[in-house]
Amino acid sequence: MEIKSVLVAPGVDLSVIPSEKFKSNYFSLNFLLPLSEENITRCNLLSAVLIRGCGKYPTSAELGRHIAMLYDPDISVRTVKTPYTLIFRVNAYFLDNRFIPEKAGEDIFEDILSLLSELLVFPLLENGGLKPSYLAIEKKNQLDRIRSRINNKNSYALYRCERLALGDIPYACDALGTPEELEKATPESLYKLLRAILEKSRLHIVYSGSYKEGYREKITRFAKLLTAERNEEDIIPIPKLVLPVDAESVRDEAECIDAFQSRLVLAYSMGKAPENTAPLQIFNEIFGASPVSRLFMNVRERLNLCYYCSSVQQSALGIMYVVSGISAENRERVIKETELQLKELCDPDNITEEDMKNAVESLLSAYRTLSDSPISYTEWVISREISGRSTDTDKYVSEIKAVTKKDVAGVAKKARLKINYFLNGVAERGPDE
Amino acid sequence: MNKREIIENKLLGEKLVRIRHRSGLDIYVLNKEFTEYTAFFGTRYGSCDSTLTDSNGHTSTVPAGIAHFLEHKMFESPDGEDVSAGFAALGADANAYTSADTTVYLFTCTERFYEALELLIKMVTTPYFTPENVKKEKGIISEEIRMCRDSVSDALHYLLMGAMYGEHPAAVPIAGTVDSISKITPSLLYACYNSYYRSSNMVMSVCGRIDPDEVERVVDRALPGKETPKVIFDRHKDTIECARKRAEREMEVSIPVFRIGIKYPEGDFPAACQVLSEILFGECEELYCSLYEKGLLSENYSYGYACRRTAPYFAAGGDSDDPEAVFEAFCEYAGRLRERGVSAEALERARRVMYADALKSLDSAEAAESIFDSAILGMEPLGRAEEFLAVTIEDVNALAGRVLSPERFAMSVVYPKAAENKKSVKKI
Repeated sequence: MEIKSVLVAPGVDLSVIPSEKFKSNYFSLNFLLPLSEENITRCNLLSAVLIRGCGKYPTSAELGRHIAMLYDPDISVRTVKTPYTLIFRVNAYFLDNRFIPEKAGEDIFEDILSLLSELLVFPLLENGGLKPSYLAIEKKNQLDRIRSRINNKNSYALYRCERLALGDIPYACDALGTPEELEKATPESLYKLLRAILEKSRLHIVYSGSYKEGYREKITRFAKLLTAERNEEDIIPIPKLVLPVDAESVRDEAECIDAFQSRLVLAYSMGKAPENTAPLQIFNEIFGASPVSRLFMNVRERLNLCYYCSSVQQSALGIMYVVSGISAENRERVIKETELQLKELCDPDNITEEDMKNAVESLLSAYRTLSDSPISYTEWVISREISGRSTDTDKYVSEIKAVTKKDVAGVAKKARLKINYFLNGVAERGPDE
Repeated sequence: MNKREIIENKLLGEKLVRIRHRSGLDIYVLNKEFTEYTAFFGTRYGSCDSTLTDSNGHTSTVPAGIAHFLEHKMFESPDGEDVSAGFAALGADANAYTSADTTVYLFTCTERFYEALELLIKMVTTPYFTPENVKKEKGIISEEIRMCRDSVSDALHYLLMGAMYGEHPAAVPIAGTVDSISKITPSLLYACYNSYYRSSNMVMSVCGRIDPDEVERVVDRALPGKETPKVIFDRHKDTIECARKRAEREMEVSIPVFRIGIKYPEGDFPAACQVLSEILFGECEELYCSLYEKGLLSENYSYGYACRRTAPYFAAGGDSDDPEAVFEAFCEYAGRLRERGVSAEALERARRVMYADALKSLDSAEAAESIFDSAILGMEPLGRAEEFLAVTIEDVNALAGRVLSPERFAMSVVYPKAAENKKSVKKI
């Protein structure tokens, strides 16, 4: 898929992924900010308050009804945490003109740009700040979101282990923010943050879909409206990536929770993230990411110890998590088998041609299908651009194909268990069991 | 003989080939310029089909969770291999799921589609159950059941189904219980398989750069049988009244979580039902907006009409400090809609929202899923988008008059554990 990138305003670049095969188009604004608890908390709040209403459509009902009449484009304002940076992301996923019955001859993208301008440039203000009553409700909602993390036991266990594995690096800031920072946010400080985002944040714009004549000019005009007051020299640079410090010994942590199942999360240090992540990706497929992986075939299928057991890489930070839902009495057996499977992969002779072929095919297949969705491909491009990696598709494919068994064994040898986190489910299982 | 028909929709720019295979299987082929190929192959058999009828007409109840158990076991072949490895060797990623009324097997791939399709058919048509492999699966599924017992959304769902439909299998978890699956045997699995996995009871949909002739050849080769007898389903006799107005429990949650349901066993007029659901519960409509403004709802909210063969219903739910106040507001708003009818503006918004939703569902290789879902319910797979635009105010008002009556309403709530019962997270 062809990607055209141009600079359209100071610190603003536009990538276009043209395609005529979709019924919908995707337009994504990605403002980059440094990772911090203050930024992440306030961006979460700002996202929620902005989508409540703007100067032209001051209530949720008015704004929502306007959006519905545009054939319900998905308009979202979100905060995304990456190891490199915080992204304040504004998206629009909208039907193409061809599929809008009474819009023939008109351009719905104009309506989308106009709506996004209203939300970002002309928000609903009261006394120099965002609307206080909206902020009060969104503060409560955000606090509820933080507290309700415990509702999902699988993700809660991973969250707890991640906190332990990351220590105090910037990426360790809580994705939902903190109650303390929520408390500090005011209508004025949030509006100030919005202005700072528009004036000082690096902005990646991506358009994916049917790219019509004149769109570049429209997007350039729009970008200039958003960033009218910015100076090149004020643009905030993206700080250098900070990696977690490796502990010498394994840290064991256990907590109990009122749940029927226990969750085990093992965090491994995988060494410094390499420039070329292809060997790590192949290793992950073989070890724990696919339905024929060593963890799936042994921990689940051979020993029947769990329903799920898989590995997740945080490659930029050099951390791997092995997650599983188990009965408490099987904890040691699962750890032992995980370690055994990892040890097996340290020897290239234990890796079969079939393992390699399946892993390469699985990754390339997943990669090829990116072009089938304007959203997936856009997000892939953004993540590569932010991490400074190439979006050269041929390079990606050749790197994956070039991985050897020795490379995979090399990745396995670097893995060191760092955190052994156990969330012990202590609910009484009752007569049913 | 196989029969073929082409369904064309000019507004959507789509052409769908429907093949009625001589075995009774309905096959849908959607040609799309995508890199990915997707295939769905499933049967009208889910957790709610809880009985078996033998050749003498004698009906017996089978253990809860058996349809889901069967789904797990279909991945094992007589040579003792896990079929997932066969898919992986073809570069395909296979999966399966069981719902209240269907069991579905699927795969995605970017190459060697026809080989993977043949493997899928072979897998689904070759049951292999032994005492050993059944025993082995019980350990895995028991852990899945425990994981689901910790799920707040599962708890809300089954509580609500129980409140609306009473002693209906829809109120029992799809995977069953650890106790019910302990009663599953190879012979019961074979009996269920032979009753429900018949070509005439099944649908296949495929999407990608696909040649319908080649699909037909693959199916002819892999599924040579003659037309199978139709499955006669055991129908539940449901009343329109809910069994209970409330179903509640306590779990490890931070604030109350609720789901409001409207029982609709009639299950007719699916397009109008979805439009009505949007008007009732939509995020730009009066009920949600007013409750949000009062701080009684957050954006953690979902709603919809569950269009299905058995126990259909409308539902909306989310977090709230005061679920009873939400329920009261819902009853009041539903009563007004029933009395006064819906506004032309709200209808137009809902039609547009549903039209866009239907179009987007055809905008990726997952279109095969959207087509499968419509076809398995006997609906026209490409017709949904335009059906939404064609829904009239008379249709919706007539439906609202029937559906929005208080005896059909129920609510499930999961409350945070009372302090004395709480075993919240603590270090050990």
